[in-house]
This record gives sequence, structure tokens and C-alpha cells, in this order.
Amino acid sequence: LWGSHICRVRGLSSSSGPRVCIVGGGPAGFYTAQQLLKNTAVDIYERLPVPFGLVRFGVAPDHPEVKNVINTFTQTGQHERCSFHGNVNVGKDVTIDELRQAYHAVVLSYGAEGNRSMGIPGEGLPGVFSAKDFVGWYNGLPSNKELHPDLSFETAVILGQGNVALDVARILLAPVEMLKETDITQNALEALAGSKVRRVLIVGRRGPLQIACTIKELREMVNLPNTRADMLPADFEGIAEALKDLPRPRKRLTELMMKAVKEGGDDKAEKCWGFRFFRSPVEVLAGADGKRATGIRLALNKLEGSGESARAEVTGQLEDVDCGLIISSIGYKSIPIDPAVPFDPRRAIVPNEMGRVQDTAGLYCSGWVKRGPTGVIATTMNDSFDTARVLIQDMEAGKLDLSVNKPGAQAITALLQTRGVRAVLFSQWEKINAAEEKRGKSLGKAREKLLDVDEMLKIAWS
Amino acid sequence: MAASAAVRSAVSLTQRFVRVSPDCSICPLYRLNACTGAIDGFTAPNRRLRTSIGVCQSADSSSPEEDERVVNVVFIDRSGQRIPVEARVGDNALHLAHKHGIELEGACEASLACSTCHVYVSSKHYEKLPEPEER
Repeated sequence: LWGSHICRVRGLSSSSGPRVCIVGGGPAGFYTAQQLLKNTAVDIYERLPVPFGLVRFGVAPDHPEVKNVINTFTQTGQHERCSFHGNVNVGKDVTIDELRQAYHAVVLSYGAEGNRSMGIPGEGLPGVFSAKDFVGWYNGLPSNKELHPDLSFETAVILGQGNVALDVARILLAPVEMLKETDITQNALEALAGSKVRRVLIVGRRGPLQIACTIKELREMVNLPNTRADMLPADFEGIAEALKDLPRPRKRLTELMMKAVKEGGDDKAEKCWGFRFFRSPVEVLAGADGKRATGIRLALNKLEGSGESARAEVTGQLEDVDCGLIISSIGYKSIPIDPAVPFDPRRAIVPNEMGRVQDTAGLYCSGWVKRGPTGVIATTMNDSFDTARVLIQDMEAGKLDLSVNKPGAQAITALLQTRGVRAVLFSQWEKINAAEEKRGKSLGKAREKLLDVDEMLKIAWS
Repeated sequence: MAASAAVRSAVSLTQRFVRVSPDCSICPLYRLNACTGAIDGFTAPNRRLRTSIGVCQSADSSSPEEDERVVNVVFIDRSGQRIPVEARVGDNALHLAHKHGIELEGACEASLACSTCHVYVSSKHYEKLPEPEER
């Protein structure tokens, strides 16, 4: 199959072989690189000094096994034909056109760093956060280190019911003992240790049969120590009858939810969490002084249709919930990286056909920027492998001119130097990695992440 | 072996966790001889290189007890190539594949945390399995 490809591809180019670069050092970037490396040299450009994207900054601290994929990515990063360049901001330090001149093909895998806004009055008030920022805060994303969420209120409301929403709920309610040995940042750990949050409501527009989270995350909520489930039986009318016709994964998920409704949990439990269905946020309410969020106004919906395509329709009824912490978990969003790259603002993705960027030969995409910001590691992995396959097919079909010699990183590094930008190489990231593990060890944690880019660079280049 | 016993053995293949080999064996680059950087050196995976690691694979077991523990597994790869391997009750299916150079991703390294590796069981055999537990 693929064994003979490299020889054929090599024969077409003059001396140095095909060169491809990937923009974005997260799971999509690394999985795409992993497959491409069988046929071509690959350079990965990443804006932060540290690689791994959402595996490092998104996966919850109490899910360390999911982060095992870093071992696979590390093999890729250390591969002789792979070269990681951290601390390079594509779109600002170097343009996409400059990359396209230096490489035979460029793959965009830069993910979704923005978030969908609720679009309601009061969204900008203190006390309201996007889940992306809240998760970034407890996971040590440098741009979220000054978030300082105020956790002195009893009730927190999370809008959205996907896995990210459940991660946030779980981190808010988990006993500190469960978190203190993980790689959660020390400042987040201390803030959570002093948190007064006791009740978390997780709100969704539609019903129990449309909930977007998966069973593992629901199970973790149900099993949280010292917490009980606080659901509204009215939200579950008709659900028991619908169970028998559901496909198995949806059925198991719904059954677990019904069990939680029925059993509730330990009445003596200090903390509680619950889903609230058929509700959409319409306004963040401020206190008398108007200075911060003190509640949220929800509109009650009814469902039209059924199954995955059911739609929420307004009824006109409203409900106010007192709360001091509001977290909007309604989706991440990609943003355009460079005017030279086509971008679909409605779907917030780079328009493409199976990973080939529309109307732009030699430009490809993989991961969330290609398909939209949903899916777990497995989804992104399969998607990245698909893009790599398509790119390799194009190489073999002669759609990319491999007879032209491309300078690759040599040219880009020289260009960056003239602009005062220096990259962090994979071996230099490994120094940052070692420093974080060492700091963690003294605190009894898996690692203590560096929160400051300058500190990271200092260690990388020491 | 009775069909139900075979199914139970098959199920235990996916459920038992066996630490078999060092980290690099799960890397597709290493297994497919790609990490040497030898551009001209691509060969098909040599399964004979893998049999010495971890689980003992004696093909000449003669005692009935030994035979009871043997499970014959056929992997069919993306190209349709059939790769028959011998396994034991208790073996981890992912590690078994890697041991024989079969490309199967397991992002969380068999921690049951991610679903990149997963098994579809035919409904005929599924009916014979005990109820799944929510744990």
C-alpha cells in the first residue's frame, strides 16, 4: 500500500524530497503529521511555545488517561523528518502565502480559539464567562491566567449540556482531594478550595433526548462524592416511553439520566447539580448597582419534532434564576487566520472539499477548522488521517508540483529571524516539559504548568 | 471450544488489561520501521520481530489446558489482507494487534478513556454476553 509511495514521490522531486507544513500543533496537527511522515518531511508551526493544543488546555485535569495520546504525539515530534516550531504566530509573524512558497503543501489545523456568544444583554457583565476561558483558566492557558473567577456565590449556571459543560460542572463540584494531584493549575486549585459554589445547574434548549454529552461524563457527575442530583421530573415526561425505540448509545445515556432522577442521591449531600431542559438564556440580570451578574433570565421552550433534529420553539414563558457565576458552554468557534485563506463566516470553518481548501491548490485543512468544533479525540484523529490520505493522493496524482525544490523551514526560519521571531524546537519544549514536571513533583502534582509565555521561552532557550 | 466459551474469551480479550510492551511499540512509526528515517527502507511489518515481547506465544502447546487458553484471531486490515494470529484468554486486543504490527490507534493507551479503539460485536454474539455494567 503505502510502502512504495515514498520512493515514487521522491523520484519526482529534485533533491530534498517533498515538504509539507502544518499550521497548528494540537491533536489535528499531530495526527495529520503522523500519517504524512510516511511520505514527506513535515514541519509543524504553533503559536504557543508548547505543543498539543486542547489535549493540554482542554482535556480536564481529572482525565489524565486521555492525555496519554501525548506519548504518540511525542514520537511524531521526535521523528527525524518532523520539525516542530513553537512560538510562531502564523498570520502575524509569517503569512500563509509565504508558507505556500516555502512548502509543496500547507495544512491548516489551527482549531477553534474563539467562542460562540449567547448574544444576550448582560453577557459582558462580571461573573459571566465562556466555558472556553474557564477551562483555559484551570488548565493553565496563558491568555486566561488573569481570569480570577469569583467563586463566592452559591449557585452557578452553565448554558449548554455538552461534555465541556459537564467538565466545568464537575471541576466546580469535585472535592479538592480529587484534584490536588492532577495537573490543574495551583491558582485554580486554591480558588476551588475556597469556593462557595454548592449548586450547579446545567441548562439546555431542548430535552433529555437531545442532550449532547456522552455517558462517561454523565456517569462521573452521578458518582461525584458528597453531591446529589437535583432534576425536575416534569422535564422527563414521556421519556420512559420513548426509551425502547432509541439507538443503544442514546438509550444507555437516557437510562442513566432517568436513574439519577429517580434516585436523586444522598439527601445529606452538601452539594447538588442538575440539568434544566427546554430553557434558553435571554438576559443576564445585574444587581441593583448594575455592576455584576446576579441572575439569569431563561425562556421556556417546547419541542417541535423529535430525535436529533428536534427544534426548540419559544412559548413566551420566562423564568429567573439567582446565580453569581454564569458559564456559557455553547460551542467554540474558528476565526480566519489570514486574508489569503477562504473562510465561511456563517459556519466558521475554512470551506473545503474533503480537506482540500476551496479554490486553493496546495492548501488543506484538518480538525475543527475543517469540520467545525465538535468531536472527541477519535473524531479528530479519523478526520486528520482522511486529510493526510487526500494530500498524499494528490501528491501521487501529480496535483502538487513536486519537481520544484522547496526550501521549507530553512527559508521560513531565515524570514522569521529578520522579523525578530525565534522558534521553540521540540527538544526545547522538552526542557519546558521537564521543568513543569519538576515543579509539579515538589507540590505532589503530575505537573505544575508554566502560565507565562516569557517564562516558557526563557527555559526553552536556556 | 463451545461458541459461548469462545465469545466469553473474545470478550475477555477486550476487557483485560495486560501491560505487554514498552511505549515505542505502540508508535506506528516505530512498528512500520519509519522512525529510523530511512526513506528507502520501507518494508511491510515483520511480524516475527514482535513475538518475543510480553505474552508468551508458544505455538506448540500440547496440553489440553494450554489449548483451552488459545484463541485464534484473524485481523483484517484496511487493504483486506487477513492476518491470523494466536492469542490467549486474557490478552488485550489492542496490544495483540500492535504486537503483530497491525495499525490500530489507541490514543489513551488502553485506559478505556477515549474510544479511538473499539469493538463491534455481531448481534448474534452480543445476545450471549452478560449485561454491560455502568461503572
